[in-house]
Amino acid sequence: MRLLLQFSRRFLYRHPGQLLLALTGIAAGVAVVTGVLLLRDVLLGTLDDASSALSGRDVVRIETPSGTLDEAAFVQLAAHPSAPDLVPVLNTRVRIGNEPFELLGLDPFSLADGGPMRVSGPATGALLGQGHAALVSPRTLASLQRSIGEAVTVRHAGQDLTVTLIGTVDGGPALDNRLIMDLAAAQDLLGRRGELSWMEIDAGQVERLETAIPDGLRLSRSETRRDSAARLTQGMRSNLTALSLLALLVGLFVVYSAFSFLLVQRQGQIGMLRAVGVTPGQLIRLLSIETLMLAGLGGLIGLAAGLLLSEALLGLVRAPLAELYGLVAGRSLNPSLMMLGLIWLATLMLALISVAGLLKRALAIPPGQLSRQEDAAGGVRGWRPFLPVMALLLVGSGLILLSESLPAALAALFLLLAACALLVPVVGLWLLGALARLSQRRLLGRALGMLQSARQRLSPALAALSLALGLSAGIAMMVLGFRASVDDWVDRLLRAPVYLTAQSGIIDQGVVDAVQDWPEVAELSSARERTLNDGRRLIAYDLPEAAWAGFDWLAPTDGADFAAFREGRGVLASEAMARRHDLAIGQAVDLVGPDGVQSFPLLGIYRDYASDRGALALDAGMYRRWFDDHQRDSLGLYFQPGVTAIETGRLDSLPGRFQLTRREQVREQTMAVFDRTFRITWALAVLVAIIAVIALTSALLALGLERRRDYATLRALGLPPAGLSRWVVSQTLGLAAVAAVLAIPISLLIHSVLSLVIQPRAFGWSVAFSLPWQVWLLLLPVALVSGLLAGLYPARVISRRDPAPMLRARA
Amino acid sequence: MSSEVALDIIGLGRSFISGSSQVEVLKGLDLRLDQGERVAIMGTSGAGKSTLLHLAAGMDRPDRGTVTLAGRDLDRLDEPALSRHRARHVGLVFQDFNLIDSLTAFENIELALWLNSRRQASDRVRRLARQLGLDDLLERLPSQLSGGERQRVAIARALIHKPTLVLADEPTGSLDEETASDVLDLFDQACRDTGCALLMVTHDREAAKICDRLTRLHLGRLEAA
Repeated sequence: MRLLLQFSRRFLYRHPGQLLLALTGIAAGVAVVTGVLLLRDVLLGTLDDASSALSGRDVVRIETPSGTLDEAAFVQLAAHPSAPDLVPVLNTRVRIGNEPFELLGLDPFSLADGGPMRVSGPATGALLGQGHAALVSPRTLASLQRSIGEAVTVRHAGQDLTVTLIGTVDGGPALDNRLIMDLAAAQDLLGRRGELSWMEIDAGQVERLETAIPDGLRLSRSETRRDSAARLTQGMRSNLTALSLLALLVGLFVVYSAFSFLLVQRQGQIGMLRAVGVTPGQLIRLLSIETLMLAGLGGLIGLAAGLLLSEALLGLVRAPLAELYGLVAGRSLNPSLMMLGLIWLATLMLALISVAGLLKRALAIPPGQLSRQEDAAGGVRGWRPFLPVMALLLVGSGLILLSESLPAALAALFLLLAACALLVPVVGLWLLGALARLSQRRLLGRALGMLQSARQRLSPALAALSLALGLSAGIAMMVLGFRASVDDWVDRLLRAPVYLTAQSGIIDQGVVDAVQDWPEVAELSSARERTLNDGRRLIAYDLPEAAWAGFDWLAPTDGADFAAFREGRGVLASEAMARRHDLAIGQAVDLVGPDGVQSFPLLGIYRDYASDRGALALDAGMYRRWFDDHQRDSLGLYFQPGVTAIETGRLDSLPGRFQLTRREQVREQTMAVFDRTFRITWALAVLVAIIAVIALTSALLALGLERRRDYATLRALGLPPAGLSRWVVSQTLGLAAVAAVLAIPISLLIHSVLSLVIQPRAFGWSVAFSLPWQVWLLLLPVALVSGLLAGLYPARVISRRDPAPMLRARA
Repeated sequence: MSSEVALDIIGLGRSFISGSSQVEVLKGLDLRLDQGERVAIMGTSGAGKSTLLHLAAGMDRPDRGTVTLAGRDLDRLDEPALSRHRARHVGLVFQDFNLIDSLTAFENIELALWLNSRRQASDRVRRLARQLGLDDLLERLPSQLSGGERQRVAIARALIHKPTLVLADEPTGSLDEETASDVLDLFDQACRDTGCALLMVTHDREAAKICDRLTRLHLGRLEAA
C-alpha cells in the first residue's frame, strides 16, 4: 500500500494544475455552504444582547409590551428592600452613514468595576463627566475609521445628532455596531427624558424581585428573546437554507468533476497497476484514501474561505436585519469548532459518496488497458433510467401537496432539483445532438458531435451549469415578481401625499390636534403599533375612506365592512397573521388588553408585506378607549383640494422634533429596503454560478485528456491550433447554450416553488404569481459568457499539446 | 526545386532528451520522393522511423536540416500555415487507425475534405468508399467496425483529398495476416489511382513490397536495404 500511496502522491505532485483545480472545486463548494451556515447561526444568535456580553451573565429584562417604560418604575423597584442590582437601559436604533447601529443608554455605575456590568477601565467613569459621549468596541472604532476623542454623526428619526467617542470597551461581536452611552446623556440626546426601554437584572436574582414587579411590566428571559429572534428571522434563514442546499448540490457536481478529472488522467496507469496484480480492494483503498486526503485539504481551505465569505455575507444582511427585524448584528462571527468539524466531516463523507460511481468505473478498467474511452453508442434507452427521476418528482410533489410545513417544502425543492439534475444530462445531450445535426457540416456540428460520446464526463457539468443558471434565473424571477407585488402594495397603501413622524418615535394627541388644524390638511390617518402580551402585533388605525381604499383584500375579496371596523365591531388580520394563526373570516379573535380578554370577529384579511410576523388591525378609536393610549407612531396627511404641499415652517410650531416625508420618498425608501434585503440572495446565486463554471472547466479538461488522441488526430489531419481552440470553445458554448435552454424550465420550477410554496410558508404572505420572462432573455448571453470562460483554459491547454506523442501506436 | 518532387529531406537531425543525456535519433538524414514514388522504410524499434514521419508531416520541427513538402520548406511556415499545408498535401495512415470514435465512417473520411474547405464531398466519399469496399459501412461508428474495416476507413481518409504525399506508420501493424494482405491490396490500388507519393515505415516485408524502393533506417541515417 505504501508504494501505491507513493504513486498517488507523485502523480499529484507532478500535476499541480489538476491538484489545484480539484482543491478549488472542493473548497468553493465547502466555502459557500460554510458561509451560509455560519450566517444562519448569526441570525439565530444576533439577539444575544450587548448587556449580556458586557456582564458575561444571563440577564432577565423587565419590560412593557409597548417597549417604553417610565423611569418612575425603576425608582420604585430600586427602592424595594430586597432589590438586587438593577440596570436601567434606553435602547434605540440609529444609523451612522449607511450602517445600522444600536444606541444603548446605561447607568455608568453599572459599568464601573464591581457594578453588574463588570467593565473595567477609566473610560466608563469618563462617561459621567461628558455630554453626548459614547464607548464603542475596538472593532467598531476601526470600522468607523475614527480615533478616541473624535465625533460621529448619528442619524435618528430623520435628525443628525453628534456623539463623541471617548473610549473602547471589549465584549466580542455582541458589542459591534453598538454605542454605549450614559443613560441620562442618551435620554437627552434622543429627546426621551424620563423614559427607559427596559431594566435588567441578573437571572440568578430574579426571584428576589418577582413579587414586587408592578402591573403592566413583564419579565423576559434570554432564551425567550433568542426564540423570538429565531422566529423573527425564520423567513430569512429559510431562504438562506434553500440557497445553501442548492450550493451543496452544485458543489457535489464539482467534487465529482474534479475527481473524475483525476481518474481520467490516470486510466492508463490504473490499467497498468491492475495488470501487474493490484487487487480491486487495494485500488479502492488507494482511491478512497486519495479522495479523503484531497477532500480533507480542500475542505480545510473551504472552511477558511467560508469564514471570510460569511463575514462578507454578514455585511450584506446587516442592513436588512436592522430594517426588517430591528436586530443589529455584529461585525464578525463566533464559529464553533464543533460546527466547523461537522462541516469538514460532512465534506469527507459527501466526497466519498459523490465519487462512489467513479470508483466503480475505476475498477471496470481492464488490466493492461492504457486508455479507455466512453462508449460512443447512443443515448439512454428504455424507461428504466427515468425511474429515479419519476420517484424524486413524485416524492417532491407529494411533500408539497401533503405537508404544510416549511422544512417539507425545502426538502421538496431539493428533491425536485435533484430530479432535474438527473434529467438534464439526458435531455441536454439529446439537444446537443440535435444542434450538432443542424450544423453538421460546420465546425460547431462536428465539435458537438464529439460530445455525444462523452456522456458520463459531461453529465455532471451540464447538470451543474443548468442548475446554476436555473437557480439564478429562478431567484431573479421570484425577486422581480415579489418586488412588483411589494411595489404595487406600497403604491396602494400609501394614499396620503405626506407622512409625519416624530424623532422620539411618538406623536402625542396635542400634536395630532395641531396638525389637524393646519389649513392644508383635510383629513388625517394614523397608525399606532404595540405588541400584545401574547407577542402578537396590534396596529391601531385611524382610517379615512381614502386610506381604506388602499387595502388589498384577500378575504372577503370584495372588501371588509368599513363601517363595522370604524365602529370597533371587529378586527382585521394581515395575511401572515391569518396564515400563522389559521384565522378565517367571522372567526372570533381574542385580544388581551389591560382590562382582560375581549373577543372581536375577524372582518377581513388584507395583503401586507410589512412584517412576516403579521399584525392584527383595530380601529384606533376603539384602541384608545380600551388601552387608554392616545399616542401615534405616524400620521398620514390628506390635503385640501388644490393643496400640493405643507407650508414651510409648520413643523416649527409643533412641540418637539418632527419630520415630513413625501409619499414618493416613503415608497423609494421601502423599495430600497427591499433591494438591500435581497442583495445576499444575488451574491449567493453568483457564487453558485462560479462553482458551476469551475465544474464545467474541470469536465472539459477531463474530456480534453480523455480525447487527447482524437484532438491529436485532428491536428495531424491539418486542423491548426487556433482551429482546435475554436473546436473546444464551440463545445463549451454549445454546452452553455443547451444549459441555458434547460435552465428555463428549471427557473420556472424554482420561481414557482419559491413564490407559491416557500414564501407563504416562510413569511406567511403570498405573492401574486407573475412571469418576468425578460430574465430568460438574459440567460443565453450569461450562459455563453460562462461557457466562454469555462472553455478558454481547456482550449489553450488542448490546442498547445504536441500531437505527435499522442499518435504513436499503443504498446 | 522541381515541382515533380513530393518530399525532399536534406541533412535532417533530431535529438531528444532522455533523463540526463541527449539521444540523437536522426543524424543528417537525406531522402527524396518524387511525385507518385513509393518508399518503404524499415528499421528496428526506436530507430526513429515514426520521428521521421512526424518531421515529414510537419508535426515536429527538426534540430537541423530542411524538409520540403510539395515545394514548401516547412521550417518557413508558421503553425497555422503548416497545418493548412499538411491538410492539403498530406494523408496519414496510423497503425492504430486513429479514427475519431464519435464520428461515423463517412464523417471520418469527410473530415479530411472539410479541413480542406472542399464542398460537394458526399459523392466523392461514396466513390472512394465503394472502391475500398466500405459502401455498407459508412454510417457505422468505428467501434462497430473490425480492425481491417477501420484501417480501410483510415486509408480512405488519407486519400480522399488527393494529397501529394501519404505517410503511413505501420499500416498493417494491428491487423492479422489475411486482413493485412487485403488492406494492402486496396491501399496499393487506391494510391496508384490518386497518383500520390507514399512514405511507409514498417516492420512487415510483405507490406514493403507495394513500394518501389526499400530503405533501412540505421544509426540515424538511411541505407539501401
